Amino acid sequence: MLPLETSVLAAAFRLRRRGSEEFHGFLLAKEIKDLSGARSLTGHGTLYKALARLEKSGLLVSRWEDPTIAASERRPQRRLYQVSTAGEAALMVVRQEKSGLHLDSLEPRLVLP
Amino acid sequence: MTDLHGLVVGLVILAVSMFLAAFALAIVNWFVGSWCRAYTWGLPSDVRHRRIAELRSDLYEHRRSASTEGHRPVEIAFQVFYRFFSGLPGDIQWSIGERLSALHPGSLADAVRRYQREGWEVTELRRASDEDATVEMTVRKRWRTKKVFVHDP
Repeated sequence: MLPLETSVLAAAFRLRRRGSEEFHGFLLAKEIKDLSGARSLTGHGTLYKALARLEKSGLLVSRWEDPTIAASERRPQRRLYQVSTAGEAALMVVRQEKSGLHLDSLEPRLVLP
Repeated sequence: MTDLHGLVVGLVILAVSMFLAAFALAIVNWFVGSWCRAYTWGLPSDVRHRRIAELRSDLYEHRRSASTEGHRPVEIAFQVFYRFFSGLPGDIQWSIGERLSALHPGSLADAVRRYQREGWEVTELRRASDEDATVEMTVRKRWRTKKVFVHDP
């Protein structure tokens, strides 16, 4: 997985912890900026290419929001994304690899009486 | 006369600058939207419309969020332009990838679905090669007919 794709999943997780199960592209861009401490938001082409790749890989799922909601708020319809189960597992693997932890290499700890 | 000429030129430049500042964000948004329509031109209509609609939403959310944070329209315009410029390679790569997918669809079922979504009628399917399981699919839309080769093991 590319670094930006890892950032997308990590940002999605953070949003979920804050109660946003689903998110749209701009919200994700803001979260990535906050998470990484970057000075500017991710470019349109970079972000949406990453989202498309993650969706094609099955790590994200997306849908159009209810058009009546967008119409009532007088704004364009949002494409809403959500991390899939496969996406959760992929992020966990990446985090384990980054922290140097590999489950199958963990030795049982000796517990002294 | 020279002083008057200089004054007039200065006022015109000031007026143009004020005009551009007032409409900078609208101009940049229009430009970014036009670029999106350009690099999605010729792609399957569902793919194209989705990308255009997502970008339109992004531009709106960006403007709304930045305005709430107190950014002036000119600053927002620079932010939007920066996002457009830094994302250019991604746009081009994605567009090329989508065109290649359309030329070489994954499976026969994918190919049939994609062409039917685009309004094409599948008129013939025949095995083009036994060695590598290539299927020759003939599709027709109005007066246009074309053959698509799909690898379908």
